Amino acid sequence: MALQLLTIRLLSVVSMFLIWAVISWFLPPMLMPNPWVVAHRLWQLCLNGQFWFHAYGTVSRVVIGFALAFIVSIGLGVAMGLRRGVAVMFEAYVLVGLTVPGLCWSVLAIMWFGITEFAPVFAIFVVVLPMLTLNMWQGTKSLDKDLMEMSRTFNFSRRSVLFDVILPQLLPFCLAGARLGFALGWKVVVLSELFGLTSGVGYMINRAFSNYSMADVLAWTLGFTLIMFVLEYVIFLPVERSLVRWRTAAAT
Amino acid sequence: MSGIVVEHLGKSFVLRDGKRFVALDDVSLTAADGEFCCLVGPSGCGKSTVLNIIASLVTPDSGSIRFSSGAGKTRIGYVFQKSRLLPWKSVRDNLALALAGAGVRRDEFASRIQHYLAMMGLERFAGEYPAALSGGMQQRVAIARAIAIEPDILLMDEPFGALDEFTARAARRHLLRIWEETHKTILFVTHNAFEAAYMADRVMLFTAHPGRLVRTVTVDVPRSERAIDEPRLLAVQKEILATLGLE
Repeated sequence: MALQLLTIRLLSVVSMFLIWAVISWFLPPMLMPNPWVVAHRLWQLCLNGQFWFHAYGTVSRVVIGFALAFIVSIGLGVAMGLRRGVAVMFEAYVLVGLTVPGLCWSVLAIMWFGITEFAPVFAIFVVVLPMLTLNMWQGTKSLDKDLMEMSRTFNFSRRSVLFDVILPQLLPFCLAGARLGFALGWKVVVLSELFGLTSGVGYMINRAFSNYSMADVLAWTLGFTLIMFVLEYVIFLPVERSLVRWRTAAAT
Repeated sequence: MSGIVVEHLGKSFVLRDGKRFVALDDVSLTAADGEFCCLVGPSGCGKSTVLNIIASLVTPDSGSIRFSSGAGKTRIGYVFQKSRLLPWKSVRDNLALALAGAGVRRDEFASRIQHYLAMMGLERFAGEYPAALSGGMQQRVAIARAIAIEPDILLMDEPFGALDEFTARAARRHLLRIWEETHKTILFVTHNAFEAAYMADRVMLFTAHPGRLVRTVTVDVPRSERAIDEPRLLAVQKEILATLGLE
């Protein structure tokens, strides 16, 4: 079964490249270079160090902006789930935050803070925060009331209620939020870099666009997609597996 | 250890459609120190509400509760209908959290957990997560958790209601053995008339809408003579059902 799933997973990735290859067959290389050419270009960018330099800039901005939003969202979302008043107070903020496009925040951040490292971090923070908060809020609302009652009956300390009863129930929501938040953060940072920064993957894509080099545009996109893949398989999936081990206890 | 005196409890809830639902109407009862009392009645008769008020999970509209344990806080162990174990904690840690809540000294944890798991026949499963255990075993862990804090009073709300009949029978016998060893005061809620007759010293009968205590039946059969086909127990069962208008 595991082997079968692995085969399907490989097939899924290989099929993407196949579709790409077939399309490139029918289009001129200026519009759609084939995967091999793009992979080769990415390889060159890796060798001359450009890719690592700009990817590092982009990833670090996403990580900082996302981490700040993540921490704030846990406090805010849990408070909204537990206290009706807090929920009513911040509901409108969350809704407005979800509605305003990331593009607006990117532009606003650069107009306010100029070409600084703070601008993209700020933009990521405000775009990701409402989504993460909504997620944690929903998670807190779905807490198991029976277990809360049990913890009261047995006089659990406040600390114990938070760490042993509430947070374990929120972990799946944290993980889902982390995935979505990270993906959203990447979309926003590229916009910020495109508009007003002088480094990062977004900036390089914009430069490739100015030179009308389709191979470069795709090479940068491909490279960053690969980074996201690595993050998913090296960080998120293993963390998820180890955190929900108790759920599969019956199966082992 | 402690007895309980419950006097004139009243509790009503307002339902979604605005109607008032009287869960308890002037309910008074007592349980002597070390007595096994069963509360029997149809759903909605307020028997669980009595337990929740004693456990301070629900505040009554009127009435009072006194414990005869005297000085200090009366310690209450609660076994719910579902085990309510923390699924992400091992059996051992589930018990440890309850011990911490009861203010037991940390260096006593290991010996207490060992002792009470052994009492429930679960010592081999201390390191397992609840999901690895059967429903009956999970409920035994929940009982171990409730008695490990060495409560003055043990509240049990249909603890075997979710188990199949075979498992439930074994669990009842097991609980009686432990009760005979420890002689805790037990308030045991059930809607199973035979279960009540089989286990209790006294059975308190409740009717619903409004929730009232209508009668108390003393089960006058010595413990050593209580078999599941004992005619005197069947007679008590019949009496219970008749009082509740089910026969």
